[in-house]
Amino acid sequence: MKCAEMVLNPNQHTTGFVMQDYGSYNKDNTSLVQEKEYPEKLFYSAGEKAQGIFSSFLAYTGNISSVKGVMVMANEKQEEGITMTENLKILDSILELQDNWNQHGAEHFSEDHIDFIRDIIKQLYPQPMIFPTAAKSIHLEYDKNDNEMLILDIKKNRSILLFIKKNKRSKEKYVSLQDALKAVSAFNGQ
Amino acid sequence: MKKERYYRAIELNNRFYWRKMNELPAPAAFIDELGTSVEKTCGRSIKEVIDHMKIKLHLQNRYFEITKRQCRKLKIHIQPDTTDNPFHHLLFDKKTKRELTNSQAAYLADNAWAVYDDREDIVLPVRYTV
Repeated sequence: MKCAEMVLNPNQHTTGFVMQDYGSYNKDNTSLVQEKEYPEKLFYSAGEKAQGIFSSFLAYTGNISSVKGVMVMANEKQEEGITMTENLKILDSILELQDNWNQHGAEHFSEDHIDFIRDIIKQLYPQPMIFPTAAKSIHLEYDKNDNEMLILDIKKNRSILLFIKKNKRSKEKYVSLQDALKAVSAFNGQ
Repeated sequence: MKKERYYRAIELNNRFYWRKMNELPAPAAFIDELGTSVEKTCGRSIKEVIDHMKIKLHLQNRYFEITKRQCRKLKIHIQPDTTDNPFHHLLFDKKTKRELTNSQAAYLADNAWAVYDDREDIVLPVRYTV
């Protein structure tokens, strides 16, 4: 199978395209960088910004017979903040929590719940801070300028409660995953 | 008589509770579907309150003070617990809903004042501005 992967650099100046049989192309100079092979795998796109880049990407991949999709990966060399790898480990730790983990009767987290959040984490840049709550939900949190905060409060049933605080005003509402990702992008100025 | 206040213990060195380790708690640390557990002063000094809390809490904690005024501002319902500890109270979103909202929890995370730290074993300077 011929497939392709797109890697989104965290500084978002360069987008590299890597294709089996066709080598790797850099979007900025369209030069061949390296050859790389990928096993059959279902990739997926992530985030509104990625969608725009995805369109450019398709132009490069016109000759590939079976593009399953695109995976956008946050580069692990983030200068500040937490990396995706660290967050995936944190999710593993949360999954290991036993009942009464907070000494006040909180329940453990299910594999399905954590799987859902793993999928979301892979679509986020920058990476959020992750906190389990004693209400069967997990917070993905961003802070900015000491007075701005965004929380994706992800419930056990996969519903997402978006909380945004700016200065002293705040609002929260249930949103779709797509809208949650848009909100994160907007919050982070992307 | 000194105004009544409430104290919340947050476990130190546990990344699940801290935005900035051991300094700035996460809103998640104030959310509990059973109600957020606090201890009321009931006329006691901070040191007396903390010493009493330590009897049941075995890990190291940092203790945060929440005022009645803050609770009023956030429309938090303060519910005495029905256990045998007369000082133990629970913070509810409202009388019929135990879990604080993210908004209430975020406010407390930003504004509850640290008054005691088990690592230092001292009462920290208290800000009585709220």
